[in-house]
Amino acid sequence: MSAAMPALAAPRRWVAWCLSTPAGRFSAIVLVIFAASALLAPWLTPYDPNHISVYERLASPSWQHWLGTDQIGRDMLTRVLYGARVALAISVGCTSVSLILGVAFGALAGVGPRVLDAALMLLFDTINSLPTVLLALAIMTLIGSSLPTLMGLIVLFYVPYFGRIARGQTRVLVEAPFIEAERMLGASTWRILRDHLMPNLLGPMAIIASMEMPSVISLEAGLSFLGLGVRAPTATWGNILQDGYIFIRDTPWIAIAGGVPLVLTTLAFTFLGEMLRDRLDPKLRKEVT
Amino acid sequence: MSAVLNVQDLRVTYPGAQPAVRGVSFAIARGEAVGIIGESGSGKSSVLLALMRLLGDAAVGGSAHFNGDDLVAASEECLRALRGDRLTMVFQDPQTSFSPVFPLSTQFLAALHRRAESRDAKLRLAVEALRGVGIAEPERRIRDYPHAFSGGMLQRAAIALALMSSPDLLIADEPTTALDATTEAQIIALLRDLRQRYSGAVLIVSHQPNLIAALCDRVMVMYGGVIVEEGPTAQVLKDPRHPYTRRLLACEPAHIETVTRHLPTIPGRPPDLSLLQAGCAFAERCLQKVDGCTIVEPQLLPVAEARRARCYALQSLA
Amino acid sequence: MSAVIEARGLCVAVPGSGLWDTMWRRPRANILTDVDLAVQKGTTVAVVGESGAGKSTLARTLMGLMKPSAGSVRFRGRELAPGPVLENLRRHVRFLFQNPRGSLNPRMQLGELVAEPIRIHEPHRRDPQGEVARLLEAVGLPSRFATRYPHELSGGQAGRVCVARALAMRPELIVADEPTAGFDVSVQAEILNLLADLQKDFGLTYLIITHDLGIVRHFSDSLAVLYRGRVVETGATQAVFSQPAHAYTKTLLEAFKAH
Repeated sequence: MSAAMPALAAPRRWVAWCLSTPAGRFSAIVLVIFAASALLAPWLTPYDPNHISVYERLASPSWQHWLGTDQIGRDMLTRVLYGARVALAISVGCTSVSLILGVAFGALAGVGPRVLDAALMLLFDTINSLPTVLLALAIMTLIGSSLPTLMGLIVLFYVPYFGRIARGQTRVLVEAPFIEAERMLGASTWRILRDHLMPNLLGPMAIIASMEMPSVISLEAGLSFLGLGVRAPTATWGNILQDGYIFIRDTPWIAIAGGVPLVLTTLAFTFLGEMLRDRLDPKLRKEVT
Repeated sequence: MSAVLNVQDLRVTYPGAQPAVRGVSFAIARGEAVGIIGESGSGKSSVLLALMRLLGDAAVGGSAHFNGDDLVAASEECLRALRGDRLTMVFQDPQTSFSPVFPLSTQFLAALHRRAESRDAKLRLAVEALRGVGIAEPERRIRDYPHAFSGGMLQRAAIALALMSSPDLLIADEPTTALDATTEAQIIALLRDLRQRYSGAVLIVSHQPNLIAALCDRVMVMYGGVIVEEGPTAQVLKDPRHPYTRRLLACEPAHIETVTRHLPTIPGRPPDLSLLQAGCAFAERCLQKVDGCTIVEPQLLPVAEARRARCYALQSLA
Repeated sequence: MSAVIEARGLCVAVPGSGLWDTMWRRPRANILTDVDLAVQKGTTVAVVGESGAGKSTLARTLMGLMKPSAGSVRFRGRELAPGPVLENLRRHVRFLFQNPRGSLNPRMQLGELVAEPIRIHEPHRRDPQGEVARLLEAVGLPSRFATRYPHELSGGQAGRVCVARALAMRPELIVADEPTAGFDVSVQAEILNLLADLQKDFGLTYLIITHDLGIVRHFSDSLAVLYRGRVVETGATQAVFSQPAHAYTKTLLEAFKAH
């Protein structure tokens, strides 16, 4: 586990490690393209993602519109690039916010008094037991659908998930002899949390978070597809998929334009998460005695 | 000699050119109890793991013929047929021998799945096996889950499970290390007692000389991936010849007659086998070192009746 | 001579685990019953017993990690209670764990680990590095080890690091729970010799919890035999070894001598 620490200090070795397997190279290429298109979207395309051009509706891929246009003549490539922005914001933003809140609540439940633990677990279980789609439907109907609402909703779903894992990990760590050793040295609870618990908790949690990225992206796409996500004109992969679904018999490129990046990105995050897990999990490393 | 196990030039090398066993040969006769003593890094555990074929991606060389099948080269099917039947094992931690989610009865029945008898007959056999290792009320206890047993009782059950099929060879890896002193003494007494009734051979690996002394006819001392001394247990432990064996046995507080606050030690560290120089692996720490010791590794040669050691200092005397 | 730490009529009970038991604060079972024990300054006291006898509970209670249900623990003559006495105890009493590697945070370098007690108790001390090097040297480790991580150590080296950590801030008492369990005999001998040398050099007091009577015979001045949560025999080590009074002690010694 601790072998990861010196490695973290050497970004070059991380890059080399990442590129050492075919899956790693694939992930790196896809994620670099993903991030670049999300960050540089306005500069990569001359069109506006919401520019309607009825004359060019449902145009096939051409030199003007590499991925064609949709039913109201919006350039698909532009919409896919802008969709990456939403996907990036949601995958990175929602995952990290959920992770931070989940670890905070989970650690609190793990070290705090029993009553707090029971209350938090009850809350987490309650949220987990609500059907995702129904709850999304209810909230979106009440507050109206928008990107911040959707992100809030995703965070709401993922905090209990990360929280539960963080709590379990914390409970294991609290019982660990080295934590007891620190307590016997007279270390304050705050010190134990900061110097000993968190560093040992965050590593495994980061792996889990990276493996959850794809499902966060798919959740957005799924909710948007059902019309429960980001409101219609905004370009998101889920919205593109929904548009494409209607016209899939005549103009399949719309669905393909929305679906392919979604599949590639989720695959890339999954591969990366698995590689991280293999590298950081000491149980998967063979010990030589 | 009808050997049940005949190991020839066994070598184990872990990935990254890390040798652990550098050519170990020995034979175990039918019904004989043999012990291997060594400290961590001596290669003793790797020998066992190689025999059990539990080494993963380490390279294993040499041969280990068990009743004619070479354990090093045998197919998985062949091993499956042997394990748990002709060749059984007892591990250090009895908790790992049993699955926590099944009562003992299920696990004993599973071990007998090859037999043709009825379920009741198998269960009776299992109950008798438990009774044989001193578990009171075995008819009732066999329905309990592993967690309901103390460590010592569970190790007894593990021994019963391992001996139930009257194996030709029982391999035990540090069978009492996870237990406390009084329980350890009871398990040693039990194993001793079982040796009278059970006719198969035993191979025990331990870092505790007293365990080997109580149970084994013959002992092999390992250091740096090779056997440095072997012979009848009583003789080797009472009158060790190899400098390493002598120093090792001198460290044990229980063997020191006069009370002292300063125990003998072996200065230096066990060698890193990937960086091993020519010559004897113990030379660096040895007090009886002669010139030849750092040039060519000594052979395992007879030093007395039925005893062999790997040391120039002894061979020049003999 | 005065007692560094002393237990009088100590009883410890585990609280029941179920909700019902917790609500009524009903104790489930007594782990320790009426234990009297005094550790005199500069001596080594051994607590002997099989697993389940309550040895570890006794150590934890003496360290203030568990609350006694009756009786008291006195450190330097003052009753142990949260506040200054407990802080004082944490500063002057160190605990050596059964599993040395497990008691080191795997993500910290040895230098940081050994400096921990100083950082905790003297947060304003400028440069603990010199002290760290001295401590590593005292336990026979080169100071370059300060930048290593626990997984890079052998079992014996991890044991030494734990001793170095225990020595920081000049403790008065070291409580060691099976300090050499699971070690090879040669490593065990090194650690025990180290502890004996340090006792001579620093006037340390030891409370050793062990099941190994070989260690007890050589390294303790007096011993207490714990059986099912009760102290069944105490006395000077040599006297108990030559003339055990209690039947349980006799069984223990017979098992030991049979080796």
